[in-house]
Amino acid sequence: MARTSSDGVADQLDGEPTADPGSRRRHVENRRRDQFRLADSICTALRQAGHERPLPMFPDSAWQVVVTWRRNLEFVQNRQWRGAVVECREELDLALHELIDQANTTRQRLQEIDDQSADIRLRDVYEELVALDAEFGEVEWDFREQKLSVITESIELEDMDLGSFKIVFDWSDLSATKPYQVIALEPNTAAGDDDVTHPHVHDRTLCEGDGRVPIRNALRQGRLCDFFLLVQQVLQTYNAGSAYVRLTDWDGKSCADCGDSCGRNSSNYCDDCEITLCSDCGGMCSDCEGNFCAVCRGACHGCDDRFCRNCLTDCTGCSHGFCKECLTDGYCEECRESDDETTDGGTTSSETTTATTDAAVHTVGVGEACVSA
Amino acid sequence: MKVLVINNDGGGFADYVDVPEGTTVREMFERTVKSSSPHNYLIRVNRQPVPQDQTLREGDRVSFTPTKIEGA
Repeated sequence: MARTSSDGVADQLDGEPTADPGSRRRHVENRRRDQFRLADSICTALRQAGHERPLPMFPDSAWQVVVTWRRNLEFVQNRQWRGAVVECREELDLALHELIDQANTTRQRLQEIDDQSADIRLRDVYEELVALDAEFGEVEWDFREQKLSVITESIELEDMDLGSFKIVFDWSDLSATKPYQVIALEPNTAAGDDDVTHPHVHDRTLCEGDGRVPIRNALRQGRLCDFFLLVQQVLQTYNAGSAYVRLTDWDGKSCADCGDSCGRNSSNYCDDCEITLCSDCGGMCSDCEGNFCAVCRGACHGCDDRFCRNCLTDCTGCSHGFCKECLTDGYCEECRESDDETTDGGTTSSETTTATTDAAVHTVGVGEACVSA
Repeated sequence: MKVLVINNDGGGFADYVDVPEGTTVREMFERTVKSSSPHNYLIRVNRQPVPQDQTLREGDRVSFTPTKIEGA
C-alpha cells in the first residue's frame, strides 16, 4: 500500500514490497520520479534563498572615517602644524586599516553568498534525497505544505527512552533561522514542562549548540542528507551542562533536603535558593512565613524558633543568629547581661588603677624612684 | 586526483582537495579530522557507508559526520 502525500502523489512505499516484479518496478520508478520533482522544488527554493539572502554590511562608515581624517590631514598640512600632521597621519593609518579589514570581511561574505547559491545543482539535491532512503527508515514529503521529513530511530540517552523524533524540513520559507522542526512521536516530556521532549528540544525547536554552523552550511549548500544526519546526531547526544531539563530531573526533581523524588507535579520550592523540596521537607519561617529548605532556615539562638536567613541577624557581640525579637540594639540578652557585668567590674578596676597610681606617688614621696626594667 | 571533502566536525565546509592515488578512506579521515577515532564518525563516500580501507577515486565525495554533537 502506498502512502500518499496531501496532493495525492505516492511518496512512500509502505510495508513489504509486492511479489509482482513489474508492480515493484513501477513503485520504484514512481518514487524516483517524485524524488526528482521534489529535488527540483527544493533546489529552486534553495537557489532563491541564496539570491535573496541579505547583502552583508558594506564599510560605508569606515570609509567616512577615512575621508574625515584625510581632510583633517590636508588642513593641518596646509598650515604646517607639524605635531598635528603626525597625529592625523597616525589616525588616517588606523582608519585605513579598519577600512581594509571591513572590506575584506564584506568581500568574503559576498563570496559565500555567491558560492552557496551557485553550487546547488539539481542532480546533487536528487542524490541527497535518494541517500535519505538509505539513512532513514521513513522519509516523507508533502508538496503542498512544502515539507520533507524523516523519522529517527528511538532515541535513548543515559537509559532514558525519549522515543522517535520526526525531523520536518520546511522549504517554503528558507529565510527562517531554523527552517525545520523536531517533533517527538511518542513524547516522553520532562516533568513540569510539556514543551520539553528532549534535553535539547523546546517547543519543537532544537537548540543546536555545536551543530549550529554545520547544520546551517548543510542547508545552504543543499546537502539535505547531511542536514538530517546532523540534527539526528544532536538528538543522540546529551549535554547535561546546557540541557533545558537534565535527565536526572526528567521525572521530577529530587528533594534537596531528603533526596527522595518529588514526583512530576511537585511545586514546592525554597523561597531563597529555589531548590526543589518534597511535600515533607522544607519549613515555614516564623517571621516572614516563607517556605525554606534546611540550609536556608536556621534556629534562633535565643528562642530556638526556626527562621530564614533573612530574618536572622548576627548578634554584634557573640555573632550567633537571632530573630529580631531576641535582639536589642544588635545584642542578644546574654551579651547584654555580660556587658552590664563588665561595666560594673570596670568601676572596680578604675579604682584599683587609681590606688596603684596613688601608691606610686607615695613611693616617690618617700624618696624611692620606680625604675622600669 | 581531486576529491570533495566535507568535514561536518568543523564548520561543515565542502572543499576540493588533492590527494595521491590510492588514498584510502582511513587516510583521508586522518588527514582531515585528525585526533579522533573513525568509530566516532559517520563516514560516507558518495553518500554511501563504506569500509575504512576503501580506496578513493577521482571525483569522490567524502563526508565525515561526528556521531556525537552537543546541543545547547
